[in-house]
Amino acid sequence: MNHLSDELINKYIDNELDLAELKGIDNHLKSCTSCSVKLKAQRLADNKLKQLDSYRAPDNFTFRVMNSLKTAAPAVSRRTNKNYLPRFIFAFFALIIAGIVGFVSYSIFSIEDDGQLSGLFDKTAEGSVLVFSTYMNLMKSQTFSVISGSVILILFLGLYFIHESHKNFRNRLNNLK
Amino acid sequence: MKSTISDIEIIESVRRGNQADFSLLVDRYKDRGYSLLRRMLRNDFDAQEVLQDCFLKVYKSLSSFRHDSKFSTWFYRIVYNSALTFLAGKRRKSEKELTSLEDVSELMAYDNQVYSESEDISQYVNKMVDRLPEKYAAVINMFYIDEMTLDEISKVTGFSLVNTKVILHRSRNALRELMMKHNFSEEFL
Repeated sequence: MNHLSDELINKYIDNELDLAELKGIDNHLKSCTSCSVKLKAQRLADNKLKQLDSYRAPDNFTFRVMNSLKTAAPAVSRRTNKNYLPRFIFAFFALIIAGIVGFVSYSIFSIEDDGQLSGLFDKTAEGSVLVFSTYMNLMKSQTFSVISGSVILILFLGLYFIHESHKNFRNRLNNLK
Repeated sequence: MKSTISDIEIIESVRRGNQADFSLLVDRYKDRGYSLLRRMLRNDFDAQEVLQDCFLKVYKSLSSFRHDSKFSTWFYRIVYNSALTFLAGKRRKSEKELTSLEDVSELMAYDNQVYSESEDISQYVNKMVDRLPEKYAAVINMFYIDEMTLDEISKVTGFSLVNTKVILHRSRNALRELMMKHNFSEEFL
C-alpha cells in the first residue's frame, strides 16, 4: 500500500472509512512510521482544534444592544407591536354573524315603503318576532345545528389555544428570568 | 425543572411586540457571533461593532424571517456576510491590506513568531487559527466551536459542501504540518 494521502487521513480522523479501508490503513501503519507519525499529528491537530478557545462578548453587550434598539429601531418596534390576529378573528366572526342576520332578515322581512313611520315600527316589531321564530325553526334543523355548533366550538377552541399558548410562554419567560 | 424556550417562540414573542424578549436571543447568540467575528476580523473593537450591527439587522428583519431554515443558520449568515462586507470596506481603505492572506499556505509566514510567543501547543494552535485567512478561520470556528455540520456551514458561507470540506481539511493539514515541523513529539508519540 502507498503512503496515506491527506484525504485518506482526514477521512480516517472523521470516521468516514469503511471496515475494509480501515483494515488496510491499520496494516500499513504497522510497517510505516512516517504515516503513523503523520496520522498522530493529524489527530493531535484535530483534538487541539476541538479545545479551541471561544471568544466571549463583553458582559454588558446585551444591555448595549437593547439600548441601541430603543433608539435605532423604534419604527420596527411600532410595526411589530401590532398584532392583527385577534382583531381579524373577531372581525371575521362578526362579519359572518352580521351576514347571516342580514340574509335571514332579508328573506323573511321586507319593509314596504308606505311612507308611515308608525307602520314601520309595527313592521319592525313584527319582523323581530319573525326573525327570532325563524332562528328557532332553523335550530330544529339538524344540519344547521351541527354547522353552527361546530363553528362555535372551533371559535372557542381557537381562542382558548391562543390564550393558553400565550400564558405558557409568559410563564416560561418569567421562570427563565 | 429548567424550561427552555425555543428560538421560534422568542421570535414570535418579539414579533408580537415584546421588544424586551429580544434580549433572550442576544444572550443566546452573542458569544457565538462574537467568536466568529473575532476570528474573522481579528480585532475586539471591530468584532463588537459589527456584532451590534448584526443584531440590529436581525431585529429589523425578524418579520421577514421564515421558519423554513433554522434561526441559528440565518443568524450566522448575517454575521458572516457582515464580516465579509466589513473586511471588503476596510481593504478598500487600506491598500496594504490587499496583500492579506488568500491561501492557507501563507500561514507559514507567521509561524516562527507565533511559535516563539506560545507557551504550549494549545496556545500555539489557538494563535495560528487566528492567523488563518478569514474564511478558513470562520469554517474552523463554526465546525469546532459551534459544532455545526458541514452542510450547515455551507449554507452559511455559500460554499459548496465539497469546498467547505476542502477548506476544513486544508486548515487541519496545515496545522498538522506545523506541529510536525515543531516536533511536538511528546504530544503524539
